[in-house]
Amino acid sequence: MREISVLTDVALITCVVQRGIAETIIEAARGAGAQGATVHFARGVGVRERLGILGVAVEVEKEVINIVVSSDQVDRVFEKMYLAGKLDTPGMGIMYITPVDKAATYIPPDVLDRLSGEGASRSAEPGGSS
Amino acid sequence: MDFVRHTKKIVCVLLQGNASEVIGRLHKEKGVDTCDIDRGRGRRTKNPTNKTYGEYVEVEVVTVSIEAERADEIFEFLYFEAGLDHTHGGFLYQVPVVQSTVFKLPDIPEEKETP
Repeated sequence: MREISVLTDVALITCVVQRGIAETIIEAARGAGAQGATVHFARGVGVRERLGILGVAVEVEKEVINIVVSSDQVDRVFEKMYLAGKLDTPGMGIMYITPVDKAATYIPPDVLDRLSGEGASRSAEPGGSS
Repeated sequence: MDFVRHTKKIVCVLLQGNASEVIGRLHKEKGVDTCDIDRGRGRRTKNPTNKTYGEYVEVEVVTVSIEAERADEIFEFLYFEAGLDHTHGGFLYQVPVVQSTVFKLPDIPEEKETP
């Protein structure tokens, strides 16, 4: 019987920044306890034109960082990413948190045993027992 | 405009090269037409007890929009079909969607594969 280790109480942090800054932010997230990150490229429209008038150069090419963390870590990781990316500076980027229903990945049995009772639950494939 | 409420978005991050096959099976076996593939790079801890990140790897991100009633079914299908039950197989998560448009394909018979 195959089983899925479903993670609950997790949240998704998405951070959109100028290209070249993602690495700095990911390192900050790692230091705060994040286990991984996914990055892809995008381009932004709007802010660049507006801030250009004020003399602030904003790169149109973006990097989008997605990190899933536990609910008890999210505020700490969010703050570290925010500070590392200097998102309090106009044009540096935007970030937000999305609630996640559930997440799943491979968890080694020994780690799963250690984590059981801290927000992870086993969900059996339909037809099996939980 | 037609809207659908109470849908779910399922995002599956898997190693590069597997996504096309996965969504092909998703379409053929589950009748899902609302999915797309993005590409990116990912990093994760080398092992669960080590805080050091591994190197970047190229990943493909499959995004599926599905009605809430079928979300669990598709979630489990993707978990096993994408090989997420193996080490470094990938990651999968599901988020709620407030509202989404209706996507329908035209009623055209599928192409038959030529031998």
